[in-house]
Amino acid sequence: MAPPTREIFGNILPNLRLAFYVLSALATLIFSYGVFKRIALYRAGRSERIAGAFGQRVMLVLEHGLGLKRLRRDPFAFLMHQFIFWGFVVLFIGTVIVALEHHGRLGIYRGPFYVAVSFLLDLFGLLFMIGLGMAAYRRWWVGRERFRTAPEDLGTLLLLFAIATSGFVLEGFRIAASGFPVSEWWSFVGYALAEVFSALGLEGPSLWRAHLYVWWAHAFLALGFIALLPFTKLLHMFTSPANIAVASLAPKGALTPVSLQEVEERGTVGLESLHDLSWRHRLALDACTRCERCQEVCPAYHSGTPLTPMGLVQQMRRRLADHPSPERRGRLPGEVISSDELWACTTCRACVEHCPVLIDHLELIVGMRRSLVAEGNLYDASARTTLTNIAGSSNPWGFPQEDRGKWAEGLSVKTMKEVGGADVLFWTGCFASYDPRAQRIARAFVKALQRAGVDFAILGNEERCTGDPARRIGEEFLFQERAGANIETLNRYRFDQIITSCAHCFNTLKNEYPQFGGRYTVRHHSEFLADLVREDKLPLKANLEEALTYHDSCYLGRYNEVYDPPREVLACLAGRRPLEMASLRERGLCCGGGGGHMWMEYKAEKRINHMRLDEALATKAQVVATACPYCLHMLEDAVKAKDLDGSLEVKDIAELIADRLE
Amino acid sequence: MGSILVVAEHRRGHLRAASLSAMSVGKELAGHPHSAWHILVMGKGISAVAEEAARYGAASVLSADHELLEHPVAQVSASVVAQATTAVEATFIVAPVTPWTKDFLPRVAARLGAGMVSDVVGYEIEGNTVVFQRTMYAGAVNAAVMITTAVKIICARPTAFPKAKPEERPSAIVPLSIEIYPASIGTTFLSYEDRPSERPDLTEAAIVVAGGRGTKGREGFQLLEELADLLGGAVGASRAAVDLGWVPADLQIGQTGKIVAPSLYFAVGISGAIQHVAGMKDSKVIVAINKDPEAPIFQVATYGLVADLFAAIPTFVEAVKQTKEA
Repeated sequence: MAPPTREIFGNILPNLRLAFYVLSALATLIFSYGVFKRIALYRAGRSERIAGAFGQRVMLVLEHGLGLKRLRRDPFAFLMHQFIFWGFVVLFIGTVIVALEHHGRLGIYRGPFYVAVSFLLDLFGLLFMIGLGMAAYRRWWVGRERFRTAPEDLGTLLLLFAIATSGFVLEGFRIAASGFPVSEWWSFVGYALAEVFSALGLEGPSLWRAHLYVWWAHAFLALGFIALLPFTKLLHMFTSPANIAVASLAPKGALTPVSLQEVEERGTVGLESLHDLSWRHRLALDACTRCERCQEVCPAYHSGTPLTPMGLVQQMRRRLADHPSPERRGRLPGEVISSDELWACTTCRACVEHCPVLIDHLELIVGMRRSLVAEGNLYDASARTTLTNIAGSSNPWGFPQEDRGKWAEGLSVKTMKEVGGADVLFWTGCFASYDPRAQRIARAFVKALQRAGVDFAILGNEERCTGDPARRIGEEFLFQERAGANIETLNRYRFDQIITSCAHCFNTLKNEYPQFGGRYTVRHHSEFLADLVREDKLPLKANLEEALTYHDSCYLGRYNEVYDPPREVLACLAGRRPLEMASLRERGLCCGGGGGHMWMEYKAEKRINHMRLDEALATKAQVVATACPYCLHMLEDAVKAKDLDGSLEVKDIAELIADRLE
Repeated sequence: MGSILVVAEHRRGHLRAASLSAMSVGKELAGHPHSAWHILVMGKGISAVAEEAARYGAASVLSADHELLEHPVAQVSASVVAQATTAVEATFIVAPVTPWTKDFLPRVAARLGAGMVSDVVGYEIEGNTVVFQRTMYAGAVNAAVMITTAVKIICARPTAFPKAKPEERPSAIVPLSIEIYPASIGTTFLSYEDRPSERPDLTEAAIVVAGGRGTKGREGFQLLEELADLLGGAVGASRAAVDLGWVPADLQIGQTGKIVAPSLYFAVGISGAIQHVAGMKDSKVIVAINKDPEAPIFQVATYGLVADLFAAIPTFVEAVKQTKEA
């Protein structure tokens, strides 16, 4: 018996085969034109070097491109996408094998290999269709409220569905027409369809005629798909992995610096117009699949501001598509993206953390803020005052510099100026230095340090604002000036590590000062306290009775992946794990105070801190533990605004520790 | 040197306090070198206001009484001021900084080709020239400015100058004959809506009475409003009071909100969160009233009173009333 195989182009007469090749060439031409246009669009962008690290980039693509790491948080979407993706890939490989067999006259497409390929193609074709079904179910049943469906979305799904269906029907006709060969049993979907066709009474020539029609339908659809690909959202199968491959490898919490030289060369600061978008920015805009994951986790969006991270990316993308040439066509901030949208961002980084294709929305938002600030379009009076104060008084409120170290009076805390060096430099930060409420954090932490016998000192009046609020508002050069001054001070003293109780100072000192030569070991007080507790250096009284919940600070959690140390500290205090709010860790809802919002009058329908407080209240905890003075301030503000003091306390983990020290 | 024309503003039949500050500026400028100063009042049926203005010792009070001046329309007001300037050959036009004057003074300047300085907070007379100080960038910078045109317009911050005092001899009231061509007015007055607040602007008031959550609500704030009205001050609030919906958001004092620096600041029932303190720390005298002796507001207060505001404020209001009557 001859080994099982099938005749390629069986039933297709030679002149029709020629027609097929002409159509294929046409489809490939259109496809190439589309791809070429996209590449030209990216190449028209500003040049930008990306750091090497080839291996790391390959890993990123494997992890996020093939592995869909961030879709795993949503198993349904993960499976759906994997089915469609792998179904597509296997069907594509199958087609390539057929083409190689035919043109290369390889003679391998027979016997067990033929059977195995047939089986796999049917299996993955079926998975592909299941994936499409899941997508339709997700979009039109469960997610009806969530997704805004464009005609393109429906069209894409229908096209893919039609391709898969016609492929199976085609196979069914062939199997039925060729008399149900036993080896075709492995093409189980096609075989089943063949049974159906024969049960319907189709036979012989009519089967072959039907086969011919469907063959052409399948060919048209598949070739049409190839031609359309660069013009639909399916382009993301190329742009998304490409964007993942060129993603920034810098620490998550570091914004890219702007140099004066760069400003002189370009004549603009930040992202002023399309002209300022680099090829990487342009690619990122094209990589967006409109999956809305960024929007789902965006506190600005949920509080009713006009900002949606996806909307921002899509708006910019549309503008770029309308004006592909690189000349300056209108401003980005203020025209394409309203300044209200830009100022609505709390820089909580949830969108960036959840984007499956690694788009950095924050880079775009802060880039446009930089342009707004440079052009004098920062109209928020409070934010302007804050910047003036950071420049003039080295703190956001404009308090005198000579009062900065006053909080430590009477605590026998040494300053670096007095001792020249210590194991630990306790970076207090503006909040804990000046705010009477936050000073309690500093005093509590000092108490813990002293009890544990840690050799530490503070900078006192030599410490100045790190510049974080300025950088997030978009005043890059004020930030750089602050960073320079602080690095100069820090470099005068000896210490092993910097510990700070402020999540913002922590992020800036750790991730952003290295950009200007300030390289230190920087740790957050929650990490340090967790170590002290673990090493039994803090004798704690019996377990805390009040129920605790923990609020993840964005700049600690999402920015620096410090999720567990504060929870460990709390678990030690209470003898059990803290209660968790509805959103936690990577999904943790912002307090509403980051990105300059502590210093702005931004008005939204809902206050983000009130939304977060509602989550805390739902846990029935009596104490909300924080690890950042911004969060503490914002949540306490919400407690006051809801007149809930007495029933709910907001406390820093250092305060909770200090209260329980024996 | 020509004369000086002070544009006086009135409301509900009385001169506004801001106009008295402009008068004192006009009066002083008139003394260097000696020249006459006049007051312009405009409106419809304003004889009572003209008589009130006549008490301040100006050479004359020009009364522009006209049907079309019943409601403020910038084109008309500007034209009248220009005509009055010609009538008394004024070289200085002085007006208080108010929304009304801001509306038409630039038009006057344009009509007369005059230089104008707004937001004047002081001046120095050096021989024949006057150097004006004006605030810029929301008070961050003081600029010294000279005007080089023949006619000079200055718009004075009411809080920066003393109020003119009545003099014995009344000024002559001169009806000003004016020409207004209705066809040339590009604006039609539609309606006037009175805001209940008669209090001075929060950022310009010399006295601010601010309340926080300690006021416990609207009734508590009514106590503060009474005190503010008695002292001619403005009412402010902490963010918490605004968030609780007790007072409108435009009364919020703080880092996010208005930044004030009055001569006298009352912080009543305000704990003194840093964001609030940042908005009032530059006040000359800070009086804090709070039940909680630990409240951080006492750290920045000049005078602190640990007391229940519902007992303290009424007592204080009574005392002020008695002092005023005496």
